[in-house]
Amino acid sequence: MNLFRVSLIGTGGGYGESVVVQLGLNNWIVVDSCIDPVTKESLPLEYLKSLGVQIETDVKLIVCSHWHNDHILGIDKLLEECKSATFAFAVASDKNKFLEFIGLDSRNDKLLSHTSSTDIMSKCLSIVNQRKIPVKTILQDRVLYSRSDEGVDIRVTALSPSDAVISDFGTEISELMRSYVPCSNRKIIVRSPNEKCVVLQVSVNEYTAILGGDLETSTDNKRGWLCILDNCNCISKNKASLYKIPHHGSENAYEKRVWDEMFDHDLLVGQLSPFINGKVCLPTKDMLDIFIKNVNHLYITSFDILNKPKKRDNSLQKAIRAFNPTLKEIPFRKGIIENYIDLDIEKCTWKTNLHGKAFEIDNEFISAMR
Amino acid sequence: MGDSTLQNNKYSFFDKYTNDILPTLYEDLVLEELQQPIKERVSLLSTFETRDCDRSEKIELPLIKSSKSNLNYICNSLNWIGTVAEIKDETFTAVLINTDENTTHEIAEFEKKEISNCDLHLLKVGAVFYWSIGYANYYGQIMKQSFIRFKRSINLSNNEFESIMDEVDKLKEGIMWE
Repeated sequence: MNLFRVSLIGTGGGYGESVVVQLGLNNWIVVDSCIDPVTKESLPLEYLKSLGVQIETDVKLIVCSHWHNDHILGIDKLLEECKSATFAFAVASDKNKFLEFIGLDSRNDKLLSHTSSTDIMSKCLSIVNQRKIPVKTILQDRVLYSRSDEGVDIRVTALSPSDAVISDFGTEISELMRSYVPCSNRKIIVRSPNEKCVVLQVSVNEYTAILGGDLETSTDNKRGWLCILDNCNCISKNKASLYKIPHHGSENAYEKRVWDEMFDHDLLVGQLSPFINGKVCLPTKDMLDIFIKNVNHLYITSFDILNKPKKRDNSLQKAIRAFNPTLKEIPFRKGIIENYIDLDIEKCTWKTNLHGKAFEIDNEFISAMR
Repeated sequence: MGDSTLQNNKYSFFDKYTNDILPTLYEDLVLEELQQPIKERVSLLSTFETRDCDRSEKIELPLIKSSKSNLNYICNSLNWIGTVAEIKDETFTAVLINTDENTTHEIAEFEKKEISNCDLHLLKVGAVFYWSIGYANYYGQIMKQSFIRFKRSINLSNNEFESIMDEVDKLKEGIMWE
């Protein structure tokens, strides 16, 4: 079918999220990846396969929005199977230094014997290097994918990160590098990757969606959401009607002006994935109260705040109770929100399919929250 | 009428022995074991039998997964890699990934006093540590045990550094940016 479809895959307690977008006909892009903690399968890859997508040819672009584990796990496996896809991410201005950093830090990951972001990035770079295809670097106002044929006009544009953020990233890489030089005792400076997060504006014909990633607000307009509002030259004249709400709906990612200026509130559909791990619980009731007033429909991939200890062999449960009774499972709750527009129908509005644990949030649900 | 177990009476090394005389203890224990009839020793492998009691009280032992030595081994354990998520005055919170199986993650709060002094300086948000919990057999005594050790950064030698840089140079030559 000729659909503009935005599917948010969420997992609950910090296992990650991914957005799979169909841009009409056989044009697909994927933003980020996350995995099932038991099967270790890439969830967007699993989803694409379940839809019968020709993965080798139809996935045109894979975007890594930022380097948090909950957005990158499994992206190497996804890239491996999507043989025609361009790989895009925001890279430091000094690319050689960036590659050195990846080389050194991924070696550190291997010593730790479990995967993390630099190790995965290193694998992705090896894949594109073997394929002899260029890596697309992401910067504010850059068009990452466009196509105009067969009755569809597609444009995927980056709204962030800004020049200032990319420049800071270069400085940060230099600092991080010093910690790997033999006999160095320099302190590592780690800044939040959320400020380097890629935000995408995806337009198909007259319809626009904003994929907010994990971008947070800032105090100035050189970075964060204020930078998009004040400095972006490519914001669509057609106000967006779908918003993947950033950073699990946290207060840090809420910028009132974004809601006021970028969206068509009569049509707006909000997509959310939670982050609930027993300590952190996002989104909060207060934020949901704000969101629901600004949207026509609000969906979430799951919301399960129950954290219980895992069931284990009796003797081990006794040992756990003796040494650390606070140990609790972080539940894996997969849900998929599919919002779609049939491009063959004029003036269509977003339709919805919900899978797994996903559901629509209403005022009754919010009132019942503690 | 006492309720101490046979095992406790025989191997009460925490009361009577110190680490300095462990080799002697080892010899004593072996001799005592050999003096026991074989049938009795076999039955002791699966139960502790209460001495001086009218009835035998059988206690289930934890499932034994591995035994590296006859005297000192871990019977049953769980192992995690933890990443420090939050640090407070007295405690810290970590997300834990079980290293024995592919399963969901866990979260727990730890007391800072559980960390060895030599590891305390490594406690930072994002720091990685190994946590094991389970049962250990110390010379016949089954004990619950919890063990936390923070990961150390291994400094690169000059050779390792150069070798990684050689690989990176190949990538720099090959990779194209758009």
